[in-house]
Order: sequence, then structure tokens, then C-alpha cells
Amino acid sequence: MAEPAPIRLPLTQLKRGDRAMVAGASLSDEDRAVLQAMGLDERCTFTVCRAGAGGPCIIQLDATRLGLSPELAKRILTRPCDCPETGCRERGEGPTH
Amino acid sequence: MTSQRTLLPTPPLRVAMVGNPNVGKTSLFNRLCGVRAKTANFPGSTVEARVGTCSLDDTELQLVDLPGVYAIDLELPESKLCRDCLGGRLEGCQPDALLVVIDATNLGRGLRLFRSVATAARPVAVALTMSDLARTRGLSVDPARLSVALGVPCVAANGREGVGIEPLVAAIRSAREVPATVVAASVSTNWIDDTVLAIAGGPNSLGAETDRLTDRLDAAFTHPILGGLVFLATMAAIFFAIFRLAELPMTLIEEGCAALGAWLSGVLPEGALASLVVDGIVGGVAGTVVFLPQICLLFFLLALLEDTGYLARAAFVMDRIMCRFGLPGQAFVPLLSSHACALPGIMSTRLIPDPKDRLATILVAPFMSCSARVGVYVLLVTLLFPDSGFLAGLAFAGCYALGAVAALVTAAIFRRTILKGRSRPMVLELPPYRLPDVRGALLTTYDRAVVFLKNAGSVILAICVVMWWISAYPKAETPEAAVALEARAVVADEAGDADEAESLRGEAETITARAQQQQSFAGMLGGAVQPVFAPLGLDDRLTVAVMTSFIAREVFRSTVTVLVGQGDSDDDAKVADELAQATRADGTRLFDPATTTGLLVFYVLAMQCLPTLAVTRRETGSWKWAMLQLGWMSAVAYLLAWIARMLVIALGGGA
Repeated sequence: MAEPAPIRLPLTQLKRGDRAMVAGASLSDEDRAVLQAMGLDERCTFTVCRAGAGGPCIIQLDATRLGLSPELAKRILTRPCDCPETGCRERGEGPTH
Repeated sequence: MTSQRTLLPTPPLRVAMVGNPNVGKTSLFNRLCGVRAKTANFPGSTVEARVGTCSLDDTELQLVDLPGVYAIDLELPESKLCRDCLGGRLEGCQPDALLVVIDATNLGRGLRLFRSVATAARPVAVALTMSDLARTRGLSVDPARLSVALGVPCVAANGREGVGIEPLVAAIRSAREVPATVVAASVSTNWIDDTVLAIAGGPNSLGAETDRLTDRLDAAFTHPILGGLVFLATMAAIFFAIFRLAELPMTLIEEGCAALGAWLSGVLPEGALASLVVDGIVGGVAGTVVFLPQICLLFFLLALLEDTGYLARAAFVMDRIMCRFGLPGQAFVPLLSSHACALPGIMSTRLIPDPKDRLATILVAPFMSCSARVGVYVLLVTLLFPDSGFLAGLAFAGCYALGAVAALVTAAIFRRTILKGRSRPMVLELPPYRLPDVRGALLTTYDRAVVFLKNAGSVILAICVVMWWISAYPKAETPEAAVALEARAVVADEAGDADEAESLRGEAETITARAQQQQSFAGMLGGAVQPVFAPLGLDDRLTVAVMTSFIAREVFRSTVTVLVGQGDSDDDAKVADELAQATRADGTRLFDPATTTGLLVFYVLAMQCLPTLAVTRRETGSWKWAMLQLGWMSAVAYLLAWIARMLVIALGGGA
């Protein structure tokens, strides 16, 4: 029996205090590159500091807080995770820049 | 050989400073260079760098403070500028070495940037900043171990407090190319994580501890209602400061320039030279330099606010409203500042990262009612509603509202047409809250003031001289009526009636000035273009007043009182009374309600300010945008003024 597909939620649907990883994003290459350069790539976990329902969304990534407009946040798909520490990264995956 | 070394001056070592935004790079630059720095613009680039010199321990450095970047390979103007600088393609900014500034609380991101510049085949040194903040977060980063890991000199430094500056200069002096082994290792996916783990220690090696105070402040400052109220209160305080605190220095500048003009009038022989120097140069430049206190205050307060970390949160609050008009949240500050004066408003658009957003904001900023319009509004509103303070107040507030609506609608139109295209997605790093760096804010203010004064001393000065010339030439002969009044003044003097003599001389001066206005090139131009303004109800005198006020709106009042009334006066009611009696050639009222309404709408919307055009050209790097701004605003002003006049006529206010 195949394992169920992991839950993927738009960033705007996460609640304050939720921890998640980026699972995908319907963004242009340029926008994706900007987010990756800011540290928001598919290898890192982040914590939601302010939920983005209807307003800006604030996440904490390593020691950095990023604010994302709702338009941008709803295009980022996330995978909730139980990783205890914000900023921890999956090894050996994702881009190297 | 020794004597050669001592005779030939050693060229300063040119060092480019590269780093992520908000890492304290500019604080380091300010600490090293102080006021020995200037802003450098580069052809084809909307972003700028600062270049400065520093001399410490016999080391002469020329530092280039490049804009903060998250990566140098992004298709963003600031990344392109860094690429060009590192590639040696920026004239005058080819670096001999690089100083990579890394935030100790965000080592991973700093190392990603280090990795991308490490292959530039230039000597590199690393400055580790924010070590104090890292320590408070339970994170310890050892610069010695980082130096070993990266193979280049690395020191901890703090620009705000001036800590580690001498070791930093020593590190720059001993900068070396990143070893090939490190460059090769850095290609590995896990290099950054491994390096961070190898050199950082403590209970929270990634520095990701939750900060409750920051959480609470963020919750308040980005709250849809509370955040909006905080923002409005902050902006009101800035607005108040710009208007009130700048009042005294502005008055002093005005009085100082007037005194200088009077002194020069006495020293220089009467004639064309004195008129050029006093009226053209001193008078013209004074009209622009008088705004310097407002500009300094605005930039000082904005620099302090930005430093506290609040401005990034405020941008988010306003983004929800501004994005409906195609503008980013950051555009609110320049637009609000333009209510004081469009010059600092336009200059403060540098807060806006996206070039198209910034351009749209620059183009619409002069729609906001600036303080120079107030005199014109008061005059025309008093003419419209001489007996109703309430209606006058309502019309006055309506002028401000009309300007703001015109700005937002224009922005929406431009962003959907000539500035079409995607904006940069609204993602901002929210820097940690901290006390502002007053020294850094003062240096930023000084830098902006120098840029403004250079502009006033070059482009604006040239424009003022041209405008003076077309208003002062050809010289009109003194009208017979004025000569007769002067003669009567002499008789009155002889009779000991000094008051009568003064009054007669004042009348003679008004008649002479009126003749000069009408017979000058500007007057002739006004007469020639009067048919264009006829649909707005303007006769040749009002057309001349509109044309001459193109240099600055406030000129309208003095010109119209000379041409139509009995000369300018501080008494608004008296001036309005005189103008209300003025008639056209056919005997009808000159300032009938329809014409006055149209004129008021015209002055709310028209680009009647040459210094603003000059600043737009400077900030956009092209006259093309300045001319578009002029053309669009003039067309909108003309069309809406005509519609307003027609509406009032239809409602029975045509006479």
C-alpha cells in the first residue's frame, strides 16, 4: 500500500506558531530566485510568526524575519513539519546557488 | 629604489564593500569614511553606491559601499550594480579587494553571498557584524575559526560603536584571494551548513530563538487597524516636524537671502548685472534652498525610523491600500512628504526597491498639494467664498483631496500602461528592532543635503537665470502714469507729507512692474498663448500670471496682484477684495466663480514647479520622464479645470 501524499498547504493557511517547509511555489524563476537568495528555499524550515489570512504574513527563518504580502504567500505551498528547530535544513537536497 | 618608493605617492587601495541588506555595512562605511564620502550615480543604473576615503595607520583606503544584495546573480538593479563593480565594469570603481560583510546572526545567508563573490579572483576580507546581537540570542561565532574556514582574514566589527575598526583595516590590508580548496569545497550543497556548524556554537547554533518582544511589536505594528493607526500617528508626527520645526530655519534662510540680495543691490552698480545677481541668482536659488530644512528633517527622521526597524513593518501595513493603485506600501512616505514639498518627496522614493514602482511614485508625487500651493489656494478660495469660512475650509480641504485622488488614479493608469509589468513581489526582510544610530542618520542627512544643494546650484540655478531673463527683458519704458506719480511724490515730499509720497511711489512701482510684466518676453509669450487658456476663462493678464508662475506656483500671487490688483500684500482679505473688483475688457468680473474654480483646479493639478522637474530628471536620470510628468499633469490640469468651469457655468456661476 502506497503512503498517503504529504499535506501541502498554501502559506496563508498556516497558523501562528506552525512550523513548515516550502513544498513548491507557483512563481516565476526570477521571484523564486529572490526568495531562495533570502534563504527561503525547499530545504529549510520556518516558523509562522504572523498568519497571513487577508494580511501580510511574517515568518521566521533562521534568525531572520521575512514579511510576505498575501498575494505572494498564497502562491507558496508548504509542508507542515514537526522539526523542533526553526532553520534546520534537510541535507543534500535543493539548490546550491 | 627606496627613494622612488618615498617620492611616488601610493595609490589608495580601492575596496568594494559587499553584503546582505541590514547587516551593518553602511554603518561600517560611515564609521570608516565619515563625511569624506559622496553618493555616486552610474549611467544606466537607478541604484547608487557611496564612495569615500579613509586613512588609518598609514593605510589609505578608497571604499565603495555597494547596495545591499541577497545574491549578485539576481536580475535586480542592485545585483547588477554589484556584478558590474566586481567585474571591473564600473568606471572609477574597479576594486583592488573586496570586503564581504556578514551578519553573525545570519551566517548561512552571508556565506551564500561570500561563495558567489569568492570566485571573483580578487583579494577578500570578511567583516563579521552583529556579534552583540548574536550573543544575546545565545549564538557565538568565532571570527578566528571563520577565518580558518574561509581562508581569508576575518574580524568582528561594529560600525555603530566603532568597535574593531583598526583590526578591520589591518584585515583589509592583508586581504587575500580565497584559496582554491575553499572555492572547490563551497560548490558542495552542504558546505554552508557544515561551515556554520563548525564555527558557531551555543545553545541555539542557528540563532533562531523566538523573540517575544519582537513578536508583540510585530503583532501591533502589522495589525490591520492598530498598525494603521500607529502608522498614521507616526506620519502625522513627521509631517508636523517637517512643517513646524522647519519653520524657523526656513524663515532664517529667507531673511538671510533677502539681506544678501539687499546688500548686493547696494554694492553692485544698478543695472542688468545687479538684477541678474539679485533677482535671478539669489532670488531664484533662495526659492529652492529655502526647502533645505524640510529636506534635512525628512531624511533625518526617515533614517532614524528605518534604523529602528519600524519602516519595513509600516510598508506592509500600507501595501494593502497602495497596491490597489499599482503602488507599493513604501510609496506612502514619499507621497505624504510631498505635502510639504515635492522635492524631498521625490528624493525619498529611494526607499522603494522596484524601479517601476519608484518611477510611478516619482511621476505622481507632485500631484500632492505642497506648501507652496497654500498661498494660491488661500487667495482663490477666499475669492470663491468671501463670506463663508465653512465653505472656504471645505474647498481648501477639497484641494488636498483632489490632488491625492489625481495622484493615485494617475499611478493606477501608468502602472497599467506605460509602466506595465510585474512589480517585485512584496517580500521584505524585517530587521530586528533596535535603537536608531543618530550618527548614521546625520551622515545620511548630510549626504542628501549635499545632493540637493548641488542640484540647486546647477540645473535649478540655470533654469532660474533663464526665467529671470525672459521676465526682465526686453526692458519696458517707464509708463507716463508712473512718471507722473513719481513727480507727485516729489511734490508730496517737499510738502512734508511722507506717507502720501510713499503711497504714490508704491503706486508708481506697481504700474512700472505691470508694464514690465506685460512687455517682457514672458508677457509676450503669455499674450501669444492666451487663446489656449481662453476656454478656462483667462484673459491675457491671468495667462501671464500662469506662465510666469511656471517657475514656482507661489509666483502666481505676486504676479496677479501686480497685473490686476494694487500690488502684493500680506493681508489676504485685502488682496482678495482688490482682485474681486477686477474686470475684463467687456466689463464683466475677471474672477467670476467659474473662472476662479477652474483656476483653483488648475493649480491643484498643474506641474507649476521647475525645481521639481529638475529633481525628477535627476532621480530618473532622464528628461524624458520629467517631460512626461509635465505634459501629463498640464493636460490633466487643463482638462479638469475646463470641466470644472463648465460645470459651474451650467450651475449658473458664470458671472
